[in-house]
Amino acid sequence: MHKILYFKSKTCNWCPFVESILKKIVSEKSTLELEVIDIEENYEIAEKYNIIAVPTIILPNSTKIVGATDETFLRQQLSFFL
Amino acid sequence: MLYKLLNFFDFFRLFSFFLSLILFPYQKINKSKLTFYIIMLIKTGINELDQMIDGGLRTHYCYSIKGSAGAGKTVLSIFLAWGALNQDIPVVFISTEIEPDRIIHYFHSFGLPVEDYIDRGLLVIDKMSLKSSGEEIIQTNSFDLSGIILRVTKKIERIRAKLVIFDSLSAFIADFEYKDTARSKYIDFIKRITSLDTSLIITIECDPITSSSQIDYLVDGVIALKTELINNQLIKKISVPKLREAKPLVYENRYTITQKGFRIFKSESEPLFTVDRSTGIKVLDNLLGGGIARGSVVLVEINGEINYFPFFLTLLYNYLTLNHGVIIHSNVQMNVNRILEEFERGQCDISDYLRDGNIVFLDKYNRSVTAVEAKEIRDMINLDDMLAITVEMMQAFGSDTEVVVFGDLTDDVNILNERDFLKLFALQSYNIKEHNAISFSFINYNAVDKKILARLRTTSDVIIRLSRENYSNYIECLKSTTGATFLAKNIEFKKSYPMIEIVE
Repeated sequence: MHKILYFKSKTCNWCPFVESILKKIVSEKSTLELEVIDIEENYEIAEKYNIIAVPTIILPNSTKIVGATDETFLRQQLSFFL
Repeated sequence: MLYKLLNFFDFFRLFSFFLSLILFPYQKINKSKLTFYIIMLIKTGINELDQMIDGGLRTHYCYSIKGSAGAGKTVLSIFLAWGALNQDIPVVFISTEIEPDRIIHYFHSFGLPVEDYIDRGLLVIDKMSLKSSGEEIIQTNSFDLSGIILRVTKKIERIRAKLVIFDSLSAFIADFEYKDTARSKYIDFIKRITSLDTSLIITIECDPITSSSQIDYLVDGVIALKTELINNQLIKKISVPKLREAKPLVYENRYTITQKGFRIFKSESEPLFTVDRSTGIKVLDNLLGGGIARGSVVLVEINGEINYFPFFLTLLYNYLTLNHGVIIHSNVQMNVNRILEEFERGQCDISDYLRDGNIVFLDKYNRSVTAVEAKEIRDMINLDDMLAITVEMMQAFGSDTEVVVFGDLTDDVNILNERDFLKLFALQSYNIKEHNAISFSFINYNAVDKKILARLRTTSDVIIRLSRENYSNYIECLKSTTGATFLAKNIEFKKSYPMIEIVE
């Protein structure tokens, strides 16, 4: 199982959009797992992963994506795990 | 020793609030507008610096320490942290490029053992940067900085910190691919951290003299560290070019960094500006922190509704009485006949100055000739000629005479294309600085493209705005060489000199 960590905050305008894309991609592939982390509620995890900006996605290969992206780009980044 | 001060304005607002309750007991009051806060003064531990920043660092204020690489920004930050810790004031020290153990080592190198303060929960040192070693990061420009805001907020709340040091902003921004976005989002960081009853210090690597960053406009105080190589000796100077609610200091004091600490020596030299900088409007001089210095490019923005002539004539007459040479780029609005008429009406006699050649009118577009002739001449004269005429006139006044140049940019912006207009303004500004003169350029900010206005603002040293709204006239300062700016103040026009009065 490949885990994707997704960091969001309540003040972030792009976060709901990115979250919906990630959920859609993950629902299509059983080998992928998504953990959505609200940094305001999970401050220690944000600290552990050195979260500076949101949205931030940490891919299973530890690559960080900082900032909102579209579905095509995310699928491309996750293609190795799909 | 802590000094808690209730801001004077808070007293005033509190008084107004109770007064309104007595006078209008049934009036609905917007409670959200009533925000009172205590401003705490934090002594820096460097007496000379305390004097320069009006007693010490204030909570709710953001200060920037600007200086080139090696000027001592981090060292000064360390001493400011130490000064607060010595008074048992909790400090959060965020480094964006150096690991915490290295910061502790820095403290030690100046004989400052900080472990005790860390153990007592008075000091938190952390490194926060976008990129960690060995990490692959893909970036886009759609993000906010709520991650770092939350993490620093939690640290402040944990130890109830009153002083937050962010060293350095330049290194933090450098990690981002979309630097402009990061810079603009950093404003949220400043707002959030200062709202937590803390004093925020950010260090910025830049040439403190020639460059003014976007952050300068947002911070309440600027501490500039300057290094100069004089006779093969590195001279370090510290100044405070901007300080909110206090008269900015234009003095530069020398400082040294040794193992004994950060020492500031009181300046024995004259202030940076020794000449008479008066504009002829005493209140304006005070608001601008002493007037307008030589070598300044002043942009006077007008909203089209207001008559800027009383302001222009007051400045003009003031500089004539100070025996300055005056060059006027005349046009339809700013021509010799109108100026003479207005002065006559204001009972100011400038005939002597005209006779002695203290005023020169340059009509770049030859309004006095017919339209066809004007077009021919305009085609013949290029930008370089226009600039050369002004420079020649400035030189003609002689090196002993200080020169002031006035111009209404309306014609320039209408006649020239955008590229030529901006080039003319930039080169003219360069010439003004080169000849240590002062220029006042008037422009209707509603009638000019916003991009052009932004470029003019960047080039200008001082921005004064004149506006008229609801039958009232206002003056405000958006930018100045001393860092002193002020919000819109009511002005009244008078028939005699000085023809403008700022009502405080």
